[in-house]
Amino acid sequence: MPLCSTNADETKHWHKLLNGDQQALAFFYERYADYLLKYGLSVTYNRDMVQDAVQELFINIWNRRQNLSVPDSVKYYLMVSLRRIILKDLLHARQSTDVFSEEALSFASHESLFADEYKEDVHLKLQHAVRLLPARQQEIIFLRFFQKLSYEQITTVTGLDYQILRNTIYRAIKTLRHSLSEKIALTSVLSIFPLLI
Amino acid sequence: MKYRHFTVEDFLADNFFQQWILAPDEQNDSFWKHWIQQNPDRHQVIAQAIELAGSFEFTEKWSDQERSAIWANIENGVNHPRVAKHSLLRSLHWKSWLSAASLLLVLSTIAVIIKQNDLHQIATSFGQIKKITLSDGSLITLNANSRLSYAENSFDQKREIWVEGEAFFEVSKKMVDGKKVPFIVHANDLSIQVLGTAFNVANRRGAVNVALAHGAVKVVDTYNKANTVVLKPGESVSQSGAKNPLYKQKVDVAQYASWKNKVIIFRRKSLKELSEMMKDLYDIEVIIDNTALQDQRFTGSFPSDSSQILFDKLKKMYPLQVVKIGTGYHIR
Repeated sequence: MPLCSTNADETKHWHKLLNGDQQALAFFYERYADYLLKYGLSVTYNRDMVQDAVQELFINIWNRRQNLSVPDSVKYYLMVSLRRIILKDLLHARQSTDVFSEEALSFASHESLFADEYKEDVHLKLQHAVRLLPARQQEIIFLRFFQKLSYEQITTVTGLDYQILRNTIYRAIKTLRHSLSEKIALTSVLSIFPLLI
Repeated sequence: MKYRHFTVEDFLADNFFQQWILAPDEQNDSFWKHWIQQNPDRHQVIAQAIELAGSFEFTEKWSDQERSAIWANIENGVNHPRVAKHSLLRSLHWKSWLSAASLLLVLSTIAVIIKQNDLHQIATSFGQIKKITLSDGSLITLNANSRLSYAENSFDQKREIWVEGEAFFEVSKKMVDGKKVPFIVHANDLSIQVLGTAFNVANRRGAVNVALAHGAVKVVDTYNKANTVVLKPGESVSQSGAKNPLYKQKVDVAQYASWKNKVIIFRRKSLKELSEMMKDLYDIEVIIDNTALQDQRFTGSFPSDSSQILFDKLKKMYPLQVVKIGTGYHIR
């Protein structure tokens, strides 16, 4: 289970946090800051916005600690809360800045630029290609293939049903293959294959 | 049989296939190995699916500075809940929040804000990027070694900004008495007239370049008003020096604005141009000892907060040597 329930160490720190120990807040920040960046960027490829959301997330937890209980999984709780904050911010941003969304400035149009780079590193290429996908596709890829959530778990996070998730992954892979078609050498693919059988 | 005609996409979207890749157990492992044996003509497809499904990585990390800055902001919000509620927290738009944070930073960095007769001057030092939110909600990101000036007290009639160096503008619409208030950016002789839009202005070494991401702008040469260009998204206009003609072309605007996302992207830039860029942004001297390299073109990117990576990459990707002598980098 990728989102294993909160372990004893985390439970201990969460209780400390609820009792007003700021060190415990720092403990969770240190542990999950990078993870939240990776996930946040999958919801919106905007580092500043993710930074703001992470800040708000931890400030909120602290300010509302009297009303919080111990979550089943701290990681899952942080992830879902961060998502909610980002989506709210995106809505605000859209309402206040005249059609223009910062997302348009993300790597969405860098595709051709990266084509010349890192010829040797397929993984890096794939990572770049994923960051060029529409936000929803990035998020579902992140949750399924990186976070290894099941389709059911992804439904509880995103509210999207099985069929939509499936189609989203299908479309994402199609785009990725298209943009990677010249970059993943077939030989490298075939060379790993004998190991599998 | 269900999987017989599956494409790579079908496999990757299939729950049972995913489970085998992500969480193999005896049951799915024996099923898929058996299936592969039974379908030798489908090997290529499933091999690609396997390769792809196991290759997803997300390696972004906060830099040390970001990490500590975020924690400082959290501590600040946590320890001053009242302040936080009024000026830092979500009662304000996130962009204003950001500018509040960057304002705090301004005090502790080299950047200076001089407030005289409501004339604001904001400058960045080498290697520094600043975000400024104007009273009308417009957001300006100021690149390294750059300077802005503006007077907010006249913003109800006309919003005018002067820029030296490089800045990215995200302009909010402003209405007063039902009329749109113009937003004008001045860069040397050029004036850029906008409504609600997003664009990049670079004004360095006497040359000006304006690249438009969204909306529409009109660029007017104030020296010769007949010299006027209207830009559509994805276009840029440049002037190599005062009184020169305006040159319009289609560009990848993201490339121009990439510095804003802490990435410097360059495409087919000559070593000479790269060396000027390093001087402008970081005050780093790049000396091209091997003049044969001077006009060679390079393509690549590096994180704006670690310019060293540029040199590491150049060394790795091209047959040249980089030698650091004193404060300068020599390319051989």
